[in-house]
Parts: sequence; C-alpha cells; structure tokens
Amino acid sequence: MNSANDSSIVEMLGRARAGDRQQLDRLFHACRSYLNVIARSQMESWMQAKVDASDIVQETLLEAHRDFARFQGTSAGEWLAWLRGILANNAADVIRKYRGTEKRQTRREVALQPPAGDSSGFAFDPADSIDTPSVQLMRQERELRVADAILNLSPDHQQVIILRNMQRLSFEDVAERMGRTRPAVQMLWMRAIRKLQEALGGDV
Amino acid sequence: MSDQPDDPADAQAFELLDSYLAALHAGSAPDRRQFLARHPELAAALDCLDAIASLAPAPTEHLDGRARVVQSAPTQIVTDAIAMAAPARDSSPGAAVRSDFGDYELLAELGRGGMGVVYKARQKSLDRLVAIKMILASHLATNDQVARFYAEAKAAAKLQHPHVVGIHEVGQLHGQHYFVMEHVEGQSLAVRLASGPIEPTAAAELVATIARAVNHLHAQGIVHRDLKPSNILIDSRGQPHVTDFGLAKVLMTDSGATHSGAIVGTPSYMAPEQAAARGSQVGPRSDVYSLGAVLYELLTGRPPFREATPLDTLVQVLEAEPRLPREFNSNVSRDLEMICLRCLEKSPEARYTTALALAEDLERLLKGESVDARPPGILQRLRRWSRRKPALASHVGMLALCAVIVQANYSMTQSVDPVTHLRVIGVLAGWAVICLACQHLLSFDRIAERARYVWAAADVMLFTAVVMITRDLEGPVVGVFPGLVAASGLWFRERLVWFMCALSIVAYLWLMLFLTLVGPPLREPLFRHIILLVVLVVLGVVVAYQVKRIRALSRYYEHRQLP
Repeated sequence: MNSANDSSIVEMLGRARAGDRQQLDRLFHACRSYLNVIARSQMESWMQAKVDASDIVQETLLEAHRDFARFQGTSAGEWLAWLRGILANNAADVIRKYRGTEKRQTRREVALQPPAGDSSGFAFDPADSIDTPSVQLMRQERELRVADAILNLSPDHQQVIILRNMQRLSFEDVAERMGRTRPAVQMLWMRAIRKLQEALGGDV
Repeated sequence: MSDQPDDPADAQAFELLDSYLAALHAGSAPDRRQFLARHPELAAALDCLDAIASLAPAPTEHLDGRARVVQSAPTQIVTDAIAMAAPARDSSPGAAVRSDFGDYELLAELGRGGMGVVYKARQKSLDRLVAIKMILASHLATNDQVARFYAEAKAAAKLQHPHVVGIHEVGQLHGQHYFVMEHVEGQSLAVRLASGPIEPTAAAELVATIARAVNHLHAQGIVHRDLKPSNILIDSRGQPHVTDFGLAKVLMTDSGATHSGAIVGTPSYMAPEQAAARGSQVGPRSDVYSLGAVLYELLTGRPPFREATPLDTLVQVLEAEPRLPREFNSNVSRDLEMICLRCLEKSPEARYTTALALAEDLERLLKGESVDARPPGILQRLRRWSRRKPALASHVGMLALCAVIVQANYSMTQSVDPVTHLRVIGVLAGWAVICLACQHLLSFDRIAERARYVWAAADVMLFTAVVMITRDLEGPVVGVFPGLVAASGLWFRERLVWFMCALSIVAYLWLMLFLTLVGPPLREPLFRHIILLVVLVVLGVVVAYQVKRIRALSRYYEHRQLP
C-alpha cells in the first residue's frame, strides 16, 4: 500500500497549504487510488470500455491541483468530498462528449463550491454523523487504504468487487456483464474478498 | 476448475457474506454480532465488506442526492447524472425514489438494463401506473441515432397486442430521452427461472403465446433481436408480455464506428447469424432461434449455451449443438424436444419459417396432434452428434482412418508380422475406448478441466505405445507429435498447449532412448532429431501465443460489452 504513508491527510493538507509543494504532491498521490475506485464504481461498464477511469482521475487531479488555492475546507472529509465533486463533473463532461454536445456550462462554479450540502449525493457532512471527529478521520484514512488494496487486486477481482459491492448489481447481473456463469462469479467474488482481506491484513 | 465451490464450508461462508452484503445494501445496519456468533472466522471478511461499503456512499445519502438531483434539474449535468446513475448506485431494484419527472412521479426503480434505468412511475394527468425507461446518454450520441430511436419508437407505439408491452409515449426532458411503457405488475421470466425449470406443458403453452406475440411484431416489420427471459414479463395471472422490442436495433448495435461488430451482451440467446454479426442475415428467423433458446431454458433450467467466458459461449453458439433437453429433464417429450431443437438450428433455413409456424406446432403438440418438426435423418443425426461432441468425433474419426490404413497395409503388403499388427489394432481400439471415457468425464462440470488434461496425456501415451510396438520413429509417423500440439490449441487453453508440447517432447526423447537401448538403432543422425524437437517447441510457442491472442481479443470484447 503506497498511500497515506505516515502522515495523515489533514497534516499533508496543512503543510501543502503552507506552501510545501512536496506535501501537495504526496497528498494527490495518496488520493489517486481512491478516486480511481470511486470513478469506476460510478461508471457504467460501457463507459469504462471507451474511457479509461484513470484518464478522468488524471484530469480531476490536474484541476484540483490548479484550483487548490480555492479549496476552503480543512477536514479530510471535506477534502475527499471536494475531489469527488470535481470527479463527478468530469464524468458528466465525458458523457456529454459522447452525446455530441460539448457544452461545459456552469461546471467551474459547481466544481469549486465547497461540497457542504452538495447536491450530487457525495456530500459528507460531519454534522450528519454520530461519529466523533477522530473516528471520522480514521474512516477517511481507511477508505484510502481500502481503495489502494482494491486496485492491487487482479483485474477480474477488481471488477467483481466494483460491480457487486459498489455498483450493487445482483450476482445475476454481474454474471451477465462479466460474461460468466453465476456460480463462477460467486466464486470469483469469494476469492476477491479473501484476497482483499489478506491485503488489508487486519488493517481495517 | 469447477464452477461450484468445492468445499461446503466455502458455500456456507458465501451464503453468510452474501446475506450480510444484502443487508448492508438494503440500508439496515446488519447485526455483526449475530453473524459472528455463528462464524467468528469471518470477522475479517465482514470488515472488508464494511470497508468497501464505506467507499460507496451510504444508501440514505444517495436517495436524497438523487431526489434532489431530479427536482432541481436545471441543466443537462443533472439529467446526465441520472443517465449515468452516478451517485445512485444504491439502487437495488424496488428502492423508493419519490421524485418528479415531468408529468410523471417516479415511484421506484424496477431495474437496470443495457439501455438504461427503468422506473415505476405514476402519470399524474391520467393517474395511471406506467414504467419509464431512461435511455443512457451514450446510446443516443448522434442526431442520426436520435432520429432512428424516434422512428423505431413510433413504429413500436402503433403495436397493440395483449401480450406485447405497449409504448405510450417517447420524449425528452432536460436532455434525457425516455419512453413510457405500460406497467406490468409481476416479474420477469428470468426471475421466475431462477427457481428452476418449468413443467414442459406449461413451458410449451407459454412459448406458444410468446411466439404469437412475436409474430405480431414481425407482421408490423419489427424484429425483436433481443428476446431473452429478462425481456419477457409474467403478469400476476401468469400471462407473458414481450417487452424491449425493436429498439434494440437502434440502441444496441451502434454508436458510430466504435461499436459496429461488437458482440453485445452474453450471446446465450442469440442466433448464430446474430452472434457472428452477420447483420444482413438477421431477421424474423433469428427471433425464432431466440424463442427456441427461451424454450430450452424453460425446459432445462439453463440456456442452450453458457460457458465461463463470452468467447467460449460464442464458439459454442457458432459451432456446437446443444445437449438434448431430455438429458436434463426426462419429462420432456420427444416431440417437444424436436420442436425446440428445430428452432435452434444453425442455419436459418432449417428453422421454422415464422414465429407463427412455431406457435402452431406447439399448439398441435398441446392438443396431442402430430407435430411438424420431423425427427432428424441418419446423416443429420450424425452431424448433430459430431457437433455436440467434436473432440470425440474427431478422435474416433482419426482412429478409424488409422485402423483402415494399418489394416490395408497389413493385408496388401504382407510386410508386417501378425503379432505386431494385432497389437497396433488393439492399442487403437483401446484408445477409442479411452476417448469415450474422457468424453464422458467432460460432461461433468467439476472435472471437465482435468479431463481435458487426462485426454491430452492419453493421446501422447497411446501414440508412444504404437511407436514402441512398430519400432519405427523415423518414418512419416513423427508428424503425429506436431499434429497433437497443433490440435491441442483447439481447446483454447494456453496451459493445455504447453502441457501437450512438454509431454510430446518427453515422449519423443523417451522413444529415442527406447530405440537406442532395445533396437533397431536410430538410422538418422542426431541433429535431425534435434531439429524435430526444436520444431515441436516452436510450434508450441506459436499455438500457445495464438490462443493467448484470441483470449485477449475475447477479454477486449468482454469489456466493450454493453451492460
């Protein structure tokens, strides 16, 4: 696992804001797998066929980098939600591109708004949650680690987890999309969970 | 490897993890303690499921998110978000959605298909229940496609038939294309099939009704192209309703150059001419094939062809003959089996000419009259048998040919001594018996993979035995080794090719050693043998590489597959 390293998101965020370019790069690096998994869990498979999720992630990180100075939040939750907001807009752009109307409209403002109460469904409002701040923090760090671990699995294992656990398709649908039999997909899923479990090694 | 978990403990663990995940997705926090009390060893796996779930936004966040999205809907981004169903991944079918969409109030999500998301909705002006299908944006990327979509939808909207799901309206709201259908209270045939096959008489009745409905489509110039159990709805009275017709042509075959020729979905219910993308040959008889595939699944509980990967399924659809329905279900009558197999003929000309002809034949069967479908002649039966068991057919054919040549040589030249001759014939006969046994093993899913290796090993060993008897390594028979390696590629398994290649080399070395020790000594200089060994290695590499390449292509298409 290459993310998170020793310092937390909040620390990296603080130092990056103070002007430490290296910390800023580390911060983006740590969030790459996370965004990749989120992007893939939100994209229909036909999209994945034509667009590489990592392209959208790349673009998202570039924009986040460019607009970093305008990010207002301080918590890890706000930071990840901000990234997710940009990601959602980039994904919407891609869709529009395939439909042939290249209107970029008001997305800049949308992307830059701090995502409190955001309408995209990504909102992560600490006030909504009964968790204490430190539990909250651990939760975000854990999400990054899990995303990393998922991306370290074999492509088949990644896909079955993304389709079943994240896109929440039934095994029947997963089987159809992966073009395998249902029992084969169920077994693949069991193996994928076992592998993930090994990779995380009690780290969850 | 088999499809089923071998270990019952594994199967049980799966059940548990699956139900835990279902509870997570339903939004109810599952009771961990209750799960762990019975299976403490699964704690880490449950942690994993929790962890992944925390990555995908929680269901409640979603529902709100989506509802707000729809209501505020001022721009295209918003509707795109629905089309992409981006944050709305919670969507287990039946999830409540409560939101407005023009004249419609969306009530619940009914399902997701290749084209988009289907919602149950209430039409406010007429106060009736309808189903709305939102088309994924990518399917209507160009103006031309939009125009064709509307043309097809208009044609479909004219249809009125008690067993065809009617289309009320086609439209666009905030850039979101949709069409509104009759709402059929009930479940799809696919859901019904999940609980096992259907009693043969009921299956015949059902398919006869569906075939008449499909014939109605054909009479209006519409070919369904995507008939499968999930596109057939069964209402509360058990009556079938065909849905999703015609539009398949616009929505599934193309979005410009990117999709043309791509295999769409799993080809299990697709006619060979459709699976092979021979578009011009696709017509009403392709639907007759699909009706046969549905009938087959109703009778046996499985589609005619369904393999572990789309490539294997495709190869089967194009080349193989389905196993006889009576092998799975002895309650199926011979006549019904003949009707089913006639629909599944590879050549469109050999099928029923129309869906109506199929319906009428099924109805004759139900009335106890004699059916139109004829039992196959001896030649056709032989052809079907060899397609069903191609490996056995080719083995037996080759062995018979060898036996004839060996026998002819023995009778005409007198140069072979009788004992050697009898031994060779004996080995060939034994070989044929082993082939029968291996073919039998192949029909068990659990051991099929291993059976292929056993068969490959048997081929090499028995041929080695023949050479040991004839003591003739340096004649033209050495060509058999490269032949075996090349043929092993037909299983489409890279490892099997390597296995065969290695085994052939070992056998060849063994024969060289054997002849050197026992005689007659090798006449050719050593380097000629080395050349042959090198040829074997090169051939193995080439065949394995080709298999790998075909697999890679297959994966490529798999990923391009529409959902």
